[in-house]
Amino acid sequence: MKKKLVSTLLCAAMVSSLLAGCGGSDAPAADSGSDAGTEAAGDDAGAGDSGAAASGDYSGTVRMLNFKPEISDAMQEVAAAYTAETGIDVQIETAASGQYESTLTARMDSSEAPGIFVVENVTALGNWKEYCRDWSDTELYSYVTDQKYTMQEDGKVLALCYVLEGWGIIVNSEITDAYFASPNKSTEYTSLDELYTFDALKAVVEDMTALKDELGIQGVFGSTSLKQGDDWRYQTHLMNIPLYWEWGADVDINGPVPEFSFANAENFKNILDLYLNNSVIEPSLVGTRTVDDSMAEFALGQCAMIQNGDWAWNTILNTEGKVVKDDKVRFIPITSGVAGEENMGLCVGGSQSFCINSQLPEEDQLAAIDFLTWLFSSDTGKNMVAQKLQLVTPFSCMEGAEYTNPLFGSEAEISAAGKTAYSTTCNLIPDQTWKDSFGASLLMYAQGQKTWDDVVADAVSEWAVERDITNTANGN
Amino acid sequence: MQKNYKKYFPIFVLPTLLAFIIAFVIPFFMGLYLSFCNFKTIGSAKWVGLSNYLYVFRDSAGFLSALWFTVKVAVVGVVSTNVLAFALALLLTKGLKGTNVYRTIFFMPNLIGGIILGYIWQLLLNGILIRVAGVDLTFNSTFGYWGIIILYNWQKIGYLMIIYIAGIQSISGDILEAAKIDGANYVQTLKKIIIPLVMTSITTCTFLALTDCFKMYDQNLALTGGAPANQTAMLAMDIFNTYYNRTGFAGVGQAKAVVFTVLVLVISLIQLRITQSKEVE
Repeated sequence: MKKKLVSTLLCAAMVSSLLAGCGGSDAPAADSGSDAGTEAAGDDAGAGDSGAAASGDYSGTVRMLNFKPEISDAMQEVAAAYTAETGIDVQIETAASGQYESTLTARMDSSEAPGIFVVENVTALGNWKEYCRDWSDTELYSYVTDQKYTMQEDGKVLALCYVLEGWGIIVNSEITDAYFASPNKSTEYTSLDELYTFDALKAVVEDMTALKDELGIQGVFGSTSLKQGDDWRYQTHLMNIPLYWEWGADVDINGPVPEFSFANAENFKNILDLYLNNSVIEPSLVGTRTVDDSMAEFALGQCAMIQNGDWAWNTILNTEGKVVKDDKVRFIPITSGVAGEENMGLCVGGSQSFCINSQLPEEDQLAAIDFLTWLFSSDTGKNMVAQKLQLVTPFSCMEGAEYTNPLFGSEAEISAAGKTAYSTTCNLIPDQTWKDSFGASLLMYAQGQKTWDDVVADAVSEWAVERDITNTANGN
Repeated sequence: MQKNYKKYFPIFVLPTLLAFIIAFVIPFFMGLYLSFCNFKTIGSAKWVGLSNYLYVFRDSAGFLSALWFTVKVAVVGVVSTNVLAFALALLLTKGLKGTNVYRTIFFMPNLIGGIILGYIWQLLLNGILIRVAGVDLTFNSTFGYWGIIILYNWQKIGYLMIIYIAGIQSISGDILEAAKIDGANYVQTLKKIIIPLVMTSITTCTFLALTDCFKMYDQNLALTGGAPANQTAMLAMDIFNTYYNRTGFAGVGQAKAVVFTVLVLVISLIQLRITQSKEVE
């Protein structure tokens, strides 16, 4: 009898594992759909004017593949609100971090191809050119404030930038104020506004490390997350600084990949070393930390500074047990010891652009455009963009929207103070292979397994290889 | 009787055959065609001849190093899982107390997905390594290698054990008793009677372990992610990275996948030939 019971249990366990395997693959898609459907019923309908009235009796589904994991929940609310107002079904799927191209490739070949998809830069646009509908005769295009926020080719507007992002070093000013007020400090700096050169930043950070027990922190900077897949804050975003100094402000960030000699390698090393040596964790352990780990350290007040962008506010806000205060979160620029950097501000640029899938039937394309027009120009949509999605957009129709993200305010202050923004030269990094390889090099450098000279030499030689591959594939 | 069965042949076989053709044969030949093309999506493929394959065999830092790493994992992984699973099966067919409970416990890890197992073992191994050596799994490819071996053993032993137990239990008690009466000791019984009689199970288990090792992806991804610097990337991961991480390299990735399929096919056919020749009726 007992034997039978055990074997029955075993059988049940085996079968359930098989079933679990089958269910896994399409769960996310189903999830996004049903959520949108059920929440719609509860939402208050009819608030604000609807830009989608034109679509009339459209009975299909607007599908979108979202790029930004940090707003995936908020996107479901947006979909529900649109369905409540217009009755049109919207399905929004979010690709996992770093997996957008692969997810998009898979979806494009399926019968549920997205009507709205995102390209990150000109390389990605090169992949999807034939799938991009011309935006030029649309209402949304007429709201674009500057042509540099569009991607054009042969007189066609293929992609519209929808989000301007800024990144730098996020500071918990409560901790730095405590430092500036401390009688035990040994620097003469008294305000964050003085930290616009690397020398000043380094002096303050190192002195703060010496006083970390007094300040109640475990390290000045959050963990340098160099775990594979979580190293983008360094191999892409920090890399923006030396690339900018090497190429200058005039480089065409939508053009072909330029040559690269890592002329400012020493500057990159300056700031990276500062992060590594004044961190919450030992440099040898940075391979275990993810971006989420680092952001949690910041939110919980274990560190005073962290390099990240305005998109990170959602993560900070939603961290359980958050102690950092909303009005104490500020930006300072990334500095690395280059002459003239005291006049520079944050890195700011249009980072992702919307495309409409031209391979879909005309009515699906129009419905997709209507949805985006509603999102950025109706009252309901604008509120959600500003407060739920927290996107700063280059659309004139979004002017006057009220934001709740304190980092946007800090960004505005820095640019109002006359600081020049770094353009997003990191868009010209040839491909993911280079980024991954450079990230792995940085990890080995942090662990003491690779000399800085080797890191630089590999970065330069691999750039040449990947540049060739990317430029050839894009016909440049 | 025979004739009746034949009449129903289409009803029973056709659905499976159809599914097999749609889900395997057609994609396989499409893939074969695409490996000779430069493409982004299937609709936009352009024929480029053998250049993708030429690249694959010159890709010493990618495909060839991943192949060598995979072979190393497969050799140690296949031997260790099979030896340990067989030893456990012997132990758990002796009629010890609690046998069924132990069988269930050993089988359990196999029910957990590879990704979750990978993350769990990453935490465990990192916890030990950081305490003992002050470094983590990403520090050295040797750590990652043994991490994958340990994880794979932990996951697969229970499954192979069940197959071995079934094999050992099907040996007739008469033969074992006759051996005992003839004065054979335990080692002799094991070598001359038990192993030859479970040879069919050995064929099945080595086949499963071998193809599993070559196709391993999720455990690899979650445990090491290829770190440090792709030194612990196995074949499947290298194919994925080739496909998605460079512009215009989907064709090369596809060519790698075709080489990979042929390789797994040839190796498992050779293995089947060898172990089957040792089976006794």
